Amino acid sequence: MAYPSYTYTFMNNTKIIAAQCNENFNNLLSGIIDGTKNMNVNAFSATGSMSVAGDVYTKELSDYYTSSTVAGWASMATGNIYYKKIGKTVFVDFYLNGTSNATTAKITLPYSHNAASVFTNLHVPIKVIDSSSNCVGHACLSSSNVLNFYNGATSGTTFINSGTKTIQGTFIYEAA
Amino acid sequence: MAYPSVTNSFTDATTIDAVQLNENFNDIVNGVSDGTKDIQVANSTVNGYADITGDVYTTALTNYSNTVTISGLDTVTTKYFYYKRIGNIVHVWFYVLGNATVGDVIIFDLPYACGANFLNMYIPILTGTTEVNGCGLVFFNAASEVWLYYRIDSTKFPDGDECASGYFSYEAA
Repeated sequence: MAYPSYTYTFMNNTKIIAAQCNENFNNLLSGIIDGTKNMNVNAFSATGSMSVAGDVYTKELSDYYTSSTVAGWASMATGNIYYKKIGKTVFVDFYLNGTSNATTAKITLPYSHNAASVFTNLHVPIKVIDSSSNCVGHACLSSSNVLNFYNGATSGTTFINSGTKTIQGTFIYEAA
Repeated sequence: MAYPSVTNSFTDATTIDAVQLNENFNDIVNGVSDGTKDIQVANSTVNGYADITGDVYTTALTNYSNTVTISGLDTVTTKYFYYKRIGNIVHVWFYVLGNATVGDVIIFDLPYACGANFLNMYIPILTGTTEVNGCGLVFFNAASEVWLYYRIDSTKFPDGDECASGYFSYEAA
């Protein structure tokens, strides 16, 4: 899809035909309002509402697993870290299922978090399977883009460093 | 950063320079396509997608720790309450640590009243005493307030120290 454009280019010493001039203005107006053209602007402000039939994103849904630094598994049978960024709000869905080689587990996130205190103190529940034991685990941020996982609702609860380790959940945060 | 504008102004009874007229048309085209200008409208409809490099918000990330009303705690030691509103979707992140002589639910108010569909909704969070140690619940009790339960079976907080942390999203009314 193209940007708005106009039909006629005028030359000096030639009479400008009013109808063509009007058509140019109409071209520009239509390009802005008829829903068929793209726009690229620095900032957009709507004092009323904004309706988007398609997607709204800075980054569309992306698989981040291969870019993330994942620690706590010797091998991964299934590794999914999907994220979607809308403005500065980042939605992360993760499913990590493999063989544990550590009592800890963590991943790096695609964006550093906002430094607001609520994010460094945030604890959210996730699902954990440690060996064959299901429980409520939890996720919390440590450094700017590291998400730590715990095998239980208490910080510091460790995993078994062998056998199956599975972590599933979502994490929503504000990027810096 | 400025809004789109035109370079040349024309006056009556004066020959219009075609090059200047073309320049004005190009000014407008560039203003809506080169990414350097701001645009402000009343309402907007996009048939395709909106790809935004910066932020998208009705209200930017907002710290309402100092204005949130918390009840159910006799003393509040630490409170972090932030929200982000994108259109009518409100994301709330929180951490609260306090103490109550008689344990009960912790109640706090929402930054925006929620839609009726969210009333009676439960969302899991982490809760504990001096620190989180179990799974509790956020409960949308009324349009403008949520209750925090200590445990997922709707057990109330015990007497003494109480802690809760998590996030939830809802649609504003």
